[in-house]
Amino acid sequence: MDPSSAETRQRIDWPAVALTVVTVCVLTFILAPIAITMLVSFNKGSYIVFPPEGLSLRWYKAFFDDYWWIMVFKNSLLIALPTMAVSTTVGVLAALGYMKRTFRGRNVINLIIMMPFLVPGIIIGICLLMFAHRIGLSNTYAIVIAGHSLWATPTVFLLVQAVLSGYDFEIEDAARDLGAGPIKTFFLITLPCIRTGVLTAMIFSFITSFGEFSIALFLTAPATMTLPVQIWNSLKYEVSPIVSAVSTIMIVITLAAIAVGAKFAGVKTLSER
Amino acid sequence: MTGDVKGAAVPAVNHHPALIMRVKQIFAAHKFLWIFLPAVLMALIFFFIPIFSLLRISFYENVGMGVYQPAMRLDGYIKFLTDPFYLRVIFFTLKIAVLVTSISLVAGYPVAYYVARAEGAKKIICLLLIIVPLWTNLIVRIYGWFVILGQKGMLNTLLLNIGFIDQPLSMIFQPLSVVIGLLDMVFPWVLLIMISVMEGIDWSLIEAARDLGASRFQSFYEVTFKLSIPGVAVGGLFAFVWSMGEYAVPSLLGSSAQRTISIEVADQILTVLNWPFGASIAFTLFMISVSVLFISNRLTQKSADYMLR
Repeated sequence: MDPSSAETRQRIDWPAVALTVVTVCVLTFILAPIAITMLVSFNKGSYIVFPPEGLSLRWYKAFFDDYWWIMVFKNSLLIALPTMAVSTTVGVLAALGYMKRTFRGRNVINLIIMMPFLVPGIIIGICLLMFAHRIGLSNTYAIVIAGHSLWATPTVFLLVQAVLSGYDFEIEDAARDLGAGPIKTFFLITLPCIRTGVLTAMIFSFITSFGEFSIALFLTAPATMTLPVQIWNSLKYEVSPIVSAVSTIMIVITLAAIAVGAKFAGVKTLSER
Repeated sequence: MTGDVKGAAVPAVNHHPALIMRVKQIFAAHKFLWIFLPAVLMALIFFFIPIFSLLRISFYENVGMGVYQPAMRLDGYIKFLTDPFYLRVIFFTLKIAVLVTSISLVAGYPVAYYVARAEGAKKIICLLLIIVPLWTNLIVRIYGWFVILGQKGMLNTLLLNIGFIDQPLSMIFQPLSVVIGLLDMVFPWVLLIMISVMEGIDWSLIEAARDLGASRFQSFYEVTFKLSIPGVAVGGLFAFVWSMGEYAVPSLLGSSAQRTISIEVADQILTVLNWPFGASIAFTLFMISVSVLFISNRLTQKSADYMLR
């Protein structure tokens, strides 16, 4: 049917209606698992059932009372915080250089930095597992932090590029002309100007590491296990309702990060991942 | 983790004087390149060198029980690419990836169009609703699908209550649930890639086409659709690579009947402990991903050239 003839015959704009319906369906599809997880975390019963059999905070209490889950939670923090520091430093520097000027080989540098993010995460996990084995870093926090930094740096690189697209690099030259050295210029001019971007990069590199699974699966031992790996174990072998509480905590952390990021850097910037 | 290297041959790093001189020259001429050094070094040490080790181990000989020794064998590759069992795994993986890519493009295109043309608060809200799943970790979303698709899950309860079915349907641990999980994973990415390309379209061109007598459909097809092809292509290629290499989704939402390439890799590395074979499969997966991304890169370059003309 020709949409234009439909438009002339009826007052209802069918293509526009169809567009809205598809949009609502797809958005519902991608949001449903998140919303449902949050709902069932307040379930009173002991099985994953829907609708919940009554409201309670039972599974949150079970999570905070469980020695193992708390240890895993701490591991995730012990890995995500150093990852945040490394990938923010490395990624912000690279983004500054990348946005400041064009030069031969710029594409090669882009490819080198982005490549780890573009190939399946499982490949990084396997490669680093073999690498750790050879250099004697098996089952350490360090190798997981290395893998996660590799994975989070491209995120920072892209986010900060989006932030820097509105940054005027000439004020750096002005500072240099007035006699400031490169380090002084960086800390007194560049950093204050892009601080919201840096903060956003920190938050999102933290989240990236905190929720990463494929790399962590290969690189963690029971003592260094992270939350996503433990959730995977639980889903694989015996589904504990504690998972819904843990998942909701992770979702709330993500939502808080998005709220802060949207305020600092804008919604558009966050979609430039 | 076992996996002992017998007579580990650590390659002597070749300090090639001419190369080092050249690198020094480049850094001297372009002082600002130092700013990339941390990022590039990190990628080289923790990604490119390990990829090279993966390639070497893929040629090694498996001794069994996680032990292997240096050799120059193509056994792993030959077995993976000729054995009927593994060919079925490859075929199943590609089939699922193609299916997920097609659905995400066909269903995602109208959504991207809708969001790209929306304005003000409506656009911000739509973008937020896409960003939330984008940043929420995948394992948590997979858990959500457990609750929705499970035996006592939401959908079954709903269908039983309205009397649509008598017995709970088995919707989880099926090829369908794997496809659903992968779609959930790729949708936010595909949408955002297509939205960003569509936002670059000059919408006044559509009005121009309409003014020149094109029908609504014609102007859409000739202007919007043709100009959005790069976004569709890049979005599709990414969806393909990521759904092909994804591990968490098929391992949790699939059953043992749905073996994908990544599940095979993980099994060989973590359970069977045949590292040379696992490395062969992993390296093949790596090469497929890199080739597809290379094509995607060329396509973007070409369409950029085309648009400039």
